[in-house]
Amino acid sequence: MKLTPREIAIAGVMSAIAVLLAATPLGFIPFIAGTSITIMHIPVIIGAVVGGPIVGTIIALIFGLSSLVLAAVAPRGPGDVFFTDPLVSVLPRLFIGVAAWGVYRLVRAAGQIWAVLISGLILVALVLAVAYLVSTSGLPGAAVLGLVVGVVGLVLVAGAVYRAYRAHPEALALSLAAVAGTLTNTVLVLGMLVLRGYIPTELALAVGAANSPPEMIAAAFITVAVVATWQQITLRTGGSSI
Amino acid sequence: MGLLDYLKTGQTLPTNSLLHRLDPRTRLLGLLGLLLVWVIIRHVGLALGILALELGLIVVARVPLRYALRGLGALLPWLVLVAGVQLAFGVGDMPGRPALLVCGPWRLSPCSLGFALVTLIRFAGLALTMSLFVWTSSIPDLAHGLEALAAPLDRLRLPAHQLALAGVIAIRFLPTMALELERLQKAQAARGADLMLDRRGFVHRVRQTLPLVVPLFAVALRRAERLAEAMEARAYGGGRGRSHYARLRLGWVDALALGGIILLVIVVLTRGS
Repeated sequence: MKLTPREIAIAGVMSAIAVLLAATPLGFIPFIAGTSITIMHIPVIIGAVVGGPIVGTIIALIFGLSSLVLAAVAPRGPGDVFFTDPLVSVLPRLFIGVAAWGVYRLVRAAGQIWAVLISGLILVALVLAVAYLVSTSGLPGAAVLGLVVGVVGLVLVAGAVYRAYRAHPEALALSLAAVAGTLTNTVLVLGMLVLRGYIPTELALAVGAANSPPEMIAAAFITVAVVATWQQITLRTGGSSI
Repeated sequence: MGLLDYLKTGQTLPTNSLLHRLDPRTRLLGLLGLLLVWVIIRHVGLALGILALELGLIVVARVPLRYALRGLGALLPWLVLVAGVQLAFGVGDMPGRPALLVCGPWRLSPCSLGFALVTLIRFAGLALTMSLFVWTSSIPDLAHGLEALAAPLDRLRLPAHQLALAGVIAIRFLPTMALELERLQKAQAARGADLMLDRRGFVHRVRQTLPLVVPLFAVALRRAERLAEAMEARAYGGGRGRSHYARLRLGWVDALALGGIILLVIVVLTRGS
């Protein structure tokens, strides 16, 4: 397995940014009511999209190790305690790069209809999960409500993804890669926390449901902005939108 | 120098103790062994014993005990909170065992208590282990150790040397990126960018990070390309097959330390988990 100097350099520099985001408050964007979402996993996603799955995994490894050491040496909140366990801070992160790269390649390579179907799968799964939660929540007529949410959601998602693909395939590919990477991070880390018995399943589900959507949105935004700038792809005709 | 200060936490303490003078490979392998031990341990008594052992190692490293415990003290309230949450939700409880306290649907049993206790000690141990490692290792040390350990792994067709090189590059570029970020903050502020994350909606706040984050990544990627060019021009691709000026030698203290770690791992694997 040989890495070109370019890949090694990208891996090193992206890892440095990941560690920087983890060590400083820059890695957090405040959400509602005092909670924040993190953007420290985004260098992994960008490294994977720009440099390949191996580069992404190397960045993920260094990112995980840095969060491990930082949790022990400079903890910043109750959650940091859990990250002193390498099975929570390192192991789940190793898959972020592969997931992001995989989705990116899939969306760009697959044919038009396939791209829409396959790429929307992640969002579709989310919609179905929400529908399921709604239908089993015990509200009156919940099953029907869940079905309606599911169908409507599916139609909306499929339509949105198709339109996005027609408008700009590259941006869609990058956004979905970012969503995949972020979801991998959230699901695997929370899953490991439950597996190790550190937090109860209900809490993990609640945190995941609350933090995932904004994190995915932020990751998509930043990934598209950075990679588009770097590859000098124009996103739209006419000036900047910042 | 605001942002650089964040990187200073947990610095090396160069007291040149016995632990400092160990071969860096021994320290790295010791760290791995101890991490493994702390991850799999479940026996409360054994966990306490290993914690005491680590406190002893801290004394050997000539790190002032009060300083060491102060770091742990910052972690303590969170540890107690975590233990509280675990007990409240009955994590680690096994329904067959008799309960100590019952209060409606909630029960406290020796199992859940033991689990919470082990978790507490486990996190304390992990924090202490990593702090000890950070205090006794310097960056050049780490670089040499990683490259030296990478050599045998290369034969397994893993990109070990390149991984070690990527790690060294990351460490080397940390202060550079921090300074770059500060420059960006000042430059954007001078151009009137609104850097205070205000309350006008979440998407707006995400867009507010873009003027800092996008140029940071752009600068980083550009530096990476230049670094890659420099490496290619010198036909450098990681340390594979290269000899080094600084030679690492294993001494009898290293052998002793490694033997002790292996013994510890075996004991915990067979008795403690």
